[in-house]
Amino acid sequence: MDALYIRKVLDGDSEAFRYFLKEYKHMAFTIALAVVKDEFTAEEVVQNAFLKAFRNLDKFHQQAKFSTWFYRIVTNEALMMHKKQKRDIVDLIPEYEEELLDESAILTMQQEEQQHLVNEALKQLSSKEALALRLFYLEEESVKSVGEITGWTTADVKTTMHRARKNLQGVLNQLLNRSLKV
Amino acid sequence: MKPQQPTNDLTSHLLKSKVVEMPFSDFEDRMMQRIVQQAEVSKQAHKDIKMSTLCFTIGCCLGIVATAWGYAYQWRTSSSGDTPLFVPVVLVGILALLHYRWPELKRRLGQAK
Repeated sequence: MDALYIRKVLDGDSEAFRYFLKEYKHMAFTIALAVVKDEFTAEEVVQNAFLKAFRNLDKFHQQAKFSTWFYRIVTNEALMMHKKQKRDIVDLIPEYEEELLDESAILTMQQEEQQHLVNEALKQLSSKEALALRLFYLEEESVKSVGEITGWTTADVKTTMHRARKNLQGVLNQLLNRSLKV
Repeated sequence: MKPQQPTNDLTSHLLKSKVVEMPFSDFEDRMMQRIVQQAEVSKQAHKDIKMSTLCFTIGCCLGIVATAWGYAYQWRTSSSGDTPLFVPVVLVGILALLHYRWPELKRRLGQAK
């Protein structure tokens, strides 16, 4: 399907690009949000990424997956934006202690509550860790694909994933404790 | 390529298929507007590149002709100095001025009418 619409856009039908917006906007937003942590900035990142993809569509090699190519653009745009923001904000990511997580408390939550909890937890993780988790689990990408999208080595992806899972548990614990106190 | 199984079941359960939806409902329309604008700019840029290539080629040809003509004229009259080249140089200058100032001249001529 992607290939068909790529051809249409390359043949001059700009309206055909709407297909990619519909298909990839949510995932692109999720990736961008994992890195920049702010909805408005994430939207700006997604806009820039789509525009870049449109401009460079003729350079996309059909042998590769469009999603991988596009997510790489989103990731680069998001990391660039994050770098710009970092000049003003000091990124303080604490190391979380490995505590036993009350899984049942999470599993009994409503779907929306779970999603809210995860989003909040990911906001507190470092951009690199949140990005790795999002890419690995959401699209069920392999370690190799995550590496292709982010440009990290396999070892780097594995290490980041390990640290990210551990820190996610720590943040979830903290958020759960806080909500219990309230 | 088979996706690797996540080691942590809870993380997997919490993160799988939980995409954060784009909260801006007009995103698609705004984006399409930018895309159409971009397409127009690209088209115009493409046209401009073609036009400038054509002008450059014509300019080169005219330059060669003018140089050859200048030398031939000089040889026939066997005069010295840069005088024979004066006419083509002035011609090229006028053409260049006309090319760059043409929209402004056209507007002024329109106003005069």
